[in-house]
Amino acid sequence: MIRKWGTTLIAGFALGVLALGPAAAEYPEKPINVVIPAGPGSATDTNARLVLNAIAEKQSLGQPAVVINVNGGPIAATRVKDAAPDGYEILVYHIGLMGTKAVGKLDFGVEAFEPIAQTGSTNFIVVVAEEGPYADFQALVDAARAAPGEINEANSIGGASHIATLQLAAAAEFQPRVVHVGDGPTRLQSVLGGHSAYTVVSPQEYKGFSGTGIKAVAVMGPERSPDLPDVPSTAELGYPTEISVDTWWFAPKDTPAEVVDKLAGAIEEAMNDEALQDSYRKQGVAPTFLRGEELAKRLATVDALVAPMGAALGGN
Amino acid sequence: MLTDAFLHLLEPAVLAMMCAGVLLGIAIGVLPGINTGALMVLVLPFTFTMNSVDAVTLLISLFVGGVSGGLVTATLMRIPGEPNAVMTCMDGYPLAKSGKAGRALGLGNTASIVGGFFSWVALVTLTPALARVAVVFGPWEIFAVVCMALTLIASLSRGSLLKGLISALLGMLVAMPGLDPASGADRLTFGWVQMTAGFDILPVILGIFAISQLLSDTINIEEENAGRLKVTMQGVLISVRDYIVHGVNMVRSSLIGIGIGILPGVGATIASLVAYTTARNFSKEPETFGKGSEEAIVAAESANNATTGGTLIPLLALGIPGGLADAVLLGALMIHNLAPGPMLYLHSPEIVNSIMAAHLVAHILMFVFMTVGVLFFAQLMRISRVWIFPVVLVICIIGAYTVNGRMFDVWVMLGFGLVGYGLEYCRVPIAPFVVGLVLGPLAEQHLRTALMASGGDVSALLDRPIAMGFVIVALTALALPVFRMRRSGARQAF
Repeated sequence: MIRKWGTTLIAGFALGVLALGPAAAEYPEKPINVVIPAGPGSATDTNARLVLNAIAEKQSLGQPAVVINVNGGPIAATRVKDAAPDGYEILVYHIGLMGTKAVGKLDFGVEAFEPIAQTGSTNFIVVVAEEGPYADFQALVDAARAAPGEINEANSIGGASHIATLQLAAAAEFQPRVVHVGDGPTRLQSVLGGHSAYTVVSPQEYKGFSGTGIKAVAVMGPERSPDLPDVPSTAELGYPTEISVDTWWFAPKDTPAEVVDKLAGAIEEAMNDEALQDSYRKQGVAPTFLRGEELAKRLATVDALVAPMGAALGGN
Repeated sequence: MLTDAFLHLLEPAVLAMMCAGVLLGIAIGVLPGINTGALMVLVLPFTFTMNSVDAVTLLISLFVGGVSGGLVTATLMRIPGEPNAVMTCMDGYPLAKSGKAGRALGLGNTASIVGGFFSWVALVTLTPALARVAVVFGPWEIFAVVCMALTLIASLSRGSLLKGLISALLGMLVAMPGLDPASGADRLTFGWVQMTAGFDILPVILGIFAISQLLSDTINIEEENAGRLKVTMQGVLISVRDYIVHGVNMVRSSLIGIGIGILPGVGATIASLVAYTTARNFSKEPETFGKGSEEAIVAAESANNATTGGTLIPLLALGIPGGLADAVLLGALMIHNLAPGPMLYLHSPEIVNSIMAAHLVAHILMFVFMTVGVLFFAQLMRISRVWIFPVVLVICIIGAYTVNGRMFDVWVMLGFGLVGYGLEYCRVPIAPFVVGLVLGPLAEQHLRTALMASGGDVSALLDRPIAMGFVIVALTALALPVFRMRRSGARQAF
């Protein structure tokens, strides 16, 4: 039986190779590896796969993309940084890249890559328990200011949520007790169970939990989310924050400009797809697309925001 | 209505899709290394174009098939097809080796469907109530549960308690490198970037079990082949008497599986571990455990299948995924614009009903396929291992490589193959190693979260009655063997 599977596997590979067809003269000539520093089903993974599916449908690259899920940001980033700059190995990452550099776990950051595109941007939502003592965001801020270091903030230390909450606490001038709880759903569970006072999560995670006894008190960013029209933004409450989780696509440094352009073009075409934009909105992700100059500016802004946070994020 | 959901599943097209899903799940379950979650991710894009009911039905079929298939490789080769079949290796393989491959697979298969059935009942009747329990369980409670499970190490150590402890501590040590669970700092990585995520559990388990087994079997290849010829197919279908004999064990192990399944992030591997050791503690013949005990197979397989219903409970009620497979299911629901949680019951009861119906139907299909498949799989025992080993080795390497798409995991697997062989050679039991490996980090993570939340105050544990209850059970479990030893020691003195 096992021998049969072996044969099937080999036959499968052979078919796969045949399906690629005759080699094209220009890039890409072979499948492209897309390295994702998170598990299957995670937000980054889902967002990237939606784009890749749209690209495959439109056949704008003429080659399949192979998603490689790598457990651990530094491993994924190092892998792509060290890959040949030929456009066959690209990375999908977010603000975590800057965070990892800020804490000193990586000795390189965005500067080690050629940015290709930004696909989507997600703003964090501040969440408290419905039956808890905080009626709104201001009540939470007041309570936190009154008892420095005693209000529990469920977080994932060193992660994107931690970067966001550091900026939030700085803007609202309070000092929470940061408790490492883990991923979004686990943090919500911690708030719901009364183990923590508040946390920040993605809209997708919030939606999955809404109706269980949690409530959103603020959207982190300059404006409200179209999904949650009744929840004020931190900016309108007087605490402006700029941190969002944007999905970025990177190629290794020195990848030829025409290769980066070709990839960015294919991604842009995919992002213009109505169905894709709908899928993004369904998950609470704004389908903003950036490339070229605008992207470089955004990356520089975020990098400048995160770089000084090293010590606060747990670095040394 | 639930009946409508069942009727929908009986439509030929839907049933055919479920059959395909369950079969594919079993096939992936049988193959070591390639896990069910990864399979579900691969299938996920195909579900985007389906309607939401069919999408979840297909994913549930894959999930149930995958959890069940692992027992085949575990029993026939002592290689866990899925990590959750680790405990099935311990007794399934010795039983199969003694010529009762059919019996071993039959028992495991029957236990699987019984576990699946009980968890289905819990899923249908208790979801809203049990979901609340999952929320009350904070870090202290989970820490206490894990401590309780850790004390089971004592009863898992065959022979020398000292060797058992060495094995368990080694397991914990292997789990140490990587990301510090509380501060996020790198730990024991020696500045090597490949080590920053630590050792992935899958390559370690494949190494300890599969590679070490291949090594020792290859060294004794002549003798192995001689023993392999007398395979009887008797006992694939178990008798009514077996249900009576193993009934209590099946129910108890299923309840353990459901309970552990509900806790987020704990999972099927630990459920089968706890059920196994509990069965051993209740057994009249604990000395047979690890040597082909039927009770052990029943306990491990009832429990790991029972977690399938358990993990769906917090997913459906609160949107908390208990494991990778649930996370994929959650992703599929979100893409169809369905947010799991109480709102799902109100707005889309048909989805909830079809998930529940699919869970049961998939288990029934799994049982049918496995029963037929077992007749066929057990024939593998007749094939000379000379032919099988190279194929298994290649599959293991592919499996380890696909975890993160890097050679590092392959080297880890091969390295732990030597470690596993060394442990066996020194007669150090492997079971406690697995316990340390999976439970150690879980205990650490929750303890540290709890301490961060209480500002470093350990006495906060005293304010949490549920957690204290588990701690007391744990202390009792620790004291019992000591007490028994004393008593038997006293008897010997007479």
